[in-house]
Amino acid sequence: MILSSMHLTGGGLTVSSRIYGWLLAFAAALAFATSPAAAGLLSSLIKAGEKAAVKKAGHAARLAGVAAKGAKVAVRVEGDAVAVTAIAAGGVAGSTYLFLHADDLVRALSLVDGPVYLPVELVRRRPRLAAEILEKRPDLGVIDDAGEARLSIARRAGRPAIVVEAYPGLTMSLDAWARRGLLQQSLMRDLAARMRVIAIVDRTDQAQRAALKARLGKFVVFVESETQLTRELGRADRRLVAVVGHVEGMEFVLRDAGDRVVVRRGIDGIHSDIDKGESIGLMVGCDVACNVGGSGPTRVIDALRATEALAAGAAASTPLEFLRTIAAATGPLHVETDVYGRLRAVSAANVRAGDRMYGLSRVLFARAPRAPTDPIVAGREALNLLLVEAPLALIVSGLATWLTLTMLGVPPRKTWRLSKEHYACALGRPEQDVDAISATERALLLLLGPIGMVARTCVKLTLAFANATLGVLGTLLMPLLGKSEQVTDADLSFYGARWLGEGAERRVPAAAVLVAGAAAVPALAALIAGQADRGWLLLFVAAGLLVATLALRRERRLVYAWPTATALATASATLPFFMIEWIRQAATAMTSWIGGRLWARSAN
Amino acid sequence: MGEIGQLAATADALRRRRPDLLARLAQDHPDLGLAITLQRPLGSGEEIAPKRGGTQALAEVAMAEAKEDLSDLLDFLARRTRLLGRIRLLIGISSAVASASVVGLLIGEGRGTTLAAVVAFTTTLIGLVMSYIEDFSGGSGSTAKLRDAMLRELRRLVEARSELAIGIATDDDAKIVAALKLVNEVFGEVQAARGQLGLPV
Repeated sequence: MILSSMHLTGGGLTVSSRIYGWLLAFAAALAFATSPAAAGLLSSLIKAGEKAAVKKAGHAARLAGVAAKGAKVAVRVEGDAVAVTAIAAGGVAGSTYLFLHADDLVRALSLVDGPVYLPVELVRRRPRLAAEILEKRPDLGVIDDAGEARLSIARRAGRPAIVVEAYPGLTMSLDAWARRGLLQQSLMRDLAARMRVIAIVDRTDQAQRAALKARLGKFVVFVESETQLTRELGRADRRLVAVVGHVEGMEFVLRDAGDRVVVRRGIDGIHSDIDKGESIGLMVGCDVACNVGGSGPTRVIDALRATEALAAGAAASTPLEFLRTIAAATGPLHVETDVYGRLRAVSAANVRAGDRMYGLSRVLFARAPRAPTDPIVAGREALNLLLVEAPLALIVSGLATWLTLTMLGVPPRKTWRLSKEHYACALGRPEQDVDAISATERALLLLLGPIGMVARTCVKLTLAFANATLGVLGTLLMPLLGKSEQVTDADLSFYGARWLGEGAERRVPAAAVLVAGAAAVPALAALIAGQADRGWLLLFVAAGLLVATLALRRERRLVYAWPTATALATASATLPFFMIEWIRQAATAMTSWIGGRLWARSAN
Repeated sequence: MGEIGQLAATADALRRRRPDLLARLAQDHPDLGLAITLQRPLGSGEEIAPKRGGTQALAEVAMAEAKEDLSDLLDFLARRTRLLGRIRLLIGISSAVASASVVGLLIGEGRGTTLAAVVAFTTTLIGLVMSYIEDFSGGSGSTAKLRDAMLRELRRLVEARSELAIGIATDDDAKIVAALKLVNEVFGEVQAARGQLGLPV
């Protein structure tokens, strides 16, 4: 680039000659178009701009005329030079203007008719240039491949900063806006189900307690001492935790009816406790955000309105909807990223001293970025699992297995001998070399030997059980259990795509069908044989198991599916059984009593 | 609320008992920061120092209402204590009858089994009812404890009344504010007791 060594200066603006790489930027002036930009618009326009011819600066004013006819304007930044490409609506027939001076660009864009959008990269890397343009063009927006939004200047921690007006009542920092996809994931359903509101409310404030209880029901717990607060924070494991309380400075403070302080706990400390439990924290208290940002005077929010918003937000499907619901009740929220790149939301009071309706709320999405886009968190978790948790679990399991086998009557000596024999057998060593093991092998065997024995026994028992009981059923039901390589077109037409098509294996767990079938067949046999009690019992087991499993799978709670299904099946099986017995006994007793009375009357 | 601190308990009690008085106080003395509807600001906001007229008016109204509120609660607790005493007596009588019926069964060689079983069952049911009533208000013996606690609050209210009278007579703002805080504490305890008993708060 022939202009790469030149400097772009003007109006107090200095752009250094550092190589930023090829910053591809875009500013589109849509003279008559008001609809949102389509996905991928930025990419396509940049591509079109690159194809356009490059001309010298000095024709910026013509942009206004071009734009007024419905063209789009692309801005490309390369080194120190800023190029503006005007693209006709019908294609790439346009021209590129190269600006060496920031004033030229600002002046040119101020002439463009209609809204102007800058790419998010340009605003992030050249915030002063963007601010300069924003002063001339208050309708300036930001754009990426996923959409666009308006920009504005807000005061944050006493300094002006560029924020994205992403949604009504919700502004974002540029980094947060670039990662807004995280807020649009369907996380809230599970989070809301595990929401816990810790209300720091004195026992003498029964009116507030009753109001919170009415709004939040089982989600709310009340604390009125440091000890209770510590305990409840400790219990908040992997939850959405909202702490509601009176805030003074950077602390939650609870006073009793005599105005004596009974709880005083720093907000940062509470955040740390919530982070330890891998939960998501939402601090609801006045001035939280204001003090974090260190800006201006404060306004207050009301606990009851905030909790109403929490209750309403629990029905949201995404964190974004949740935040918008909260913002509607407590005032504008601002979403930003912290030093670890995690998304958090603070009250807009934090950034805009003059627009503080109800200033406070701070949401820290500590664990929300579980998406693959957050490799740091994922990497740390994997490393922790590999280096700490897995070895620890192995050691504990090994020791526990020794103990368990001893308690079950297998002496340690026998366990040790069997472990060595299995090890030698697995390696194909001759029988006489069973004891010829090195120190390392000995250590490993001490740890893993009993586990291996137990695992092997379990596998053998399972196989034996499956062969004896489920093998036949499995063979019969195999076509129903999911897509198999052996499925033929004839099978497909006979059983239907519901069972054998794509994803059919996810519809009904194979084991559920097997166990339900295993229960249903003897149930029918028992009914036919005249043993109604046992028959009904087994039928209830089968039906309960199927229903519970299907219902739980729909809820995507697979981890809990089987234990819960078993419990529900047992309950659904035993309860009707006992109820039938009770009804029968009651009917017998009543018949006897009535018969006795009648007999006594007739005898008299 | 400035130097008089937060008076949520007083405001809640007045809202429950005399919303008209609360509204008038809030209108006549906005410096008190009383809210007509239930609100709980989670921050301090702008502090306005209350004026003498407001604190004195609020203290006088609160004093009178606290006395009435406490009396109502003590009446309720007295009724509840009497009820529990009667139930306890009934349980004792039923237990005695049940024991007697066992003796009757032994003497009468098994006749009257049904009656004896019904009496024993009824005794158990009455015991369950009493347990429920007491558990609902804080466990065994809680009603009596609450009554004792409210009697102590009555004594504190008398102290507050004296403090207020001295404050008005000597034109001492600090004493008036102290009396107001004391009444607020009494209201707080009354509210807590009402919440425990399941009464409207």
